[in-house]
Amino acid sequence: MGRAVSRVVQRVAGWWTTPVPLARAAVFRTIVYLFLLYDIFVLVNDVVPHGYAPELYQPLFIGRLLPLPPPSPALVHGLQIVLVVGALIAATGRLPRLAGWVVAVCYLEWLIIGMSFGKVDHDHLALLVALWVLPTVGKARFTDSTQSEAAGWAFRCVQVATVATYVGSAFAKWVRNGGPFTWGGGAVFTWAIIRRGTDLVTWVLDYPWLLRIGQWVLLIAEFLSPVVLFLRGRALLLAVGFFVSFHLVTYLSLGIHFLPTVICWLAFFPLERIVPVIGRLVPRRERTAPLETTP
Amino acid sequence: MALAGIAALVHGTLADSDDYFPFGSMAQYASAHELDSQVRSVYMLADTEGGLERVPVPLHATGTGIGRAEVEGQLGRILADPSLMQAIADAYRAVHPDRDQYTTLYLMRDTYQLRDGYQAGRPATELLAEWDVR
Repeated sequence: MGRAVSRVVQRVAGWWTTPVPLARAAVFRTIVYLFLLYDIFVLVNDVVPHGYAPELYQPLFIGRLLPLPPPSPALVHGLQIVLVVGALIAATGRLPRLAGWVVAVCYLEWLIIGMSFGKVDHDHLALLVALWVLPTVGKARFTDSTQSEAAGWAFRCVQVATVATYVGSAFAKWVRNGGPFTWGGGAVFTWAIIRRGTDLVTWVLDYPWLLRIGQWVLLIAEFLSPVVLFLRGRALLLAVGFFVSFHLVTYLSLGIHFLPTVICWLAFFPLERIVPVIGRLVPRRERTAPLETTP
Repeated sequence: MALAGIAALVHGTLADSDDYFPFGSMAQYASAHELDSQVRSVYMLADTEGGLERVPVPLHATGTGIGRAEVEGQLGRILADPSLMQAIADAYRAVHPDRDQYTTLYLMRDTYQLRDGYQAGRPATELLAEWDVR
C-alpha cells in the first residue's frame, strides 16, 4: 500500500517536471512579458483611473490581509513605470530572476487594485501564475536546447492554471446553481446579450434554444478541459482551437476577450521551433566581435 | 507550491466567492438565470456644464475608469450613500480634464422581463439615485 502511494506520488512528480528545452522557456518568457505591456495599457487599463477614485476602493481578502497601500495617483503611476521597465528587461531574458520577481509582485498589486472596485475578472489566473513561475527557471537562451526539469515544472504550472480557468468555472457554475448541469438550461447567454451584446448577435435573442445549445456545449467542454493536459498532436490543436474560438466568439458578441488566458495556451506547444524561423527572417547584424567557436 | 495553489482554488470555488482573488471562484457568468427571470442593467446618465442633458456616462476603463459591473458590484453601497457618485465625477475630471464635465449624475436601471427564455416587451426604466456634482 505504502509503496503504491509512493509510486503514484513519483509518477505525479515526474509528470509535473517533464523536461522541456530551455529555449521554450526563453520564447514563452519574451511573449509573456511583451504581452504584459499590452495588458497594462489596454486590457487592465482601469488601474490608473482607479487611483483617482479611492472612495470606491473595496479591498479584496488579500488586500485586507496584507498591508497594501490604498490606490493613489502616485502608487498607480509608480507601479506602471516599474512594470514597463521590468517587463522590457525580463522580455530580453536579462536578469530573469530579479526582473521577473519585481514584475510578478508589482503585477499582482496592479491586478489587486484593478479588481478591488466591485468586480473581479477571472481571465488572469494563468498569466499571473506564469509570471510567478517563470523567474524560477533562471537563465534560458533562445538557442539552448538543454532539457530542463525546472522549465518543465514552470510550463506544467501554466498549463494547469490555464485548464483550471475552465474547469474551475464549470465547478463555479455547479456550486452556484446547485447541480452540475443546471446552468446549461438557464438563460445566461440571453442575459449577457441583452446587457452587452454587440449588433452582430442581438438577432439570436429570438432563438433562445440556440443559446441553450451553446450553453450546454460550453459547460461540457469546461468540465472536460483537464483532458487537454494529456492530448498531443492534432487532438491537442483541435481542443485548443475550440477554446480559442470560443473566446473569439465571446469577443465579437459581447466584447469579452480573455486574451491573458489565450496567451497561456501557447504553453502547450513547442515554441522553440519558431527560433530558427525568426533567425532566418531577421537579417544577421554585422558582427564586430569574433564569432564564438565553442559549441 | 503547485498543490497549495490548487487547494486555494478549490477553496475559493467551494466558498463561491471571488473575494479570494487570485484564487477566487471563476464566478463570471456562473449564475444560470431562470427562463422567466428579469435582466437588469444599470447605467449612468449625466447633465453637463456645457448644457447637455442626460448623456450616457462612459462606465468603462477609458471613460470614467469605473466600470458598469463595478457600479453594479457596489450598488447597495451607492444607494445607501449616493455621495459616492461624486468619486465617478471626480475621476472623470481627473482623467479627462478637457471634456465637458458633469453637473448632475443619474443612476439608472433598465429591467427586461424574460418569458420562457424570450425577451418580453420593452424594458422598464427606473431612476435609482441622483447626485449633484460638487
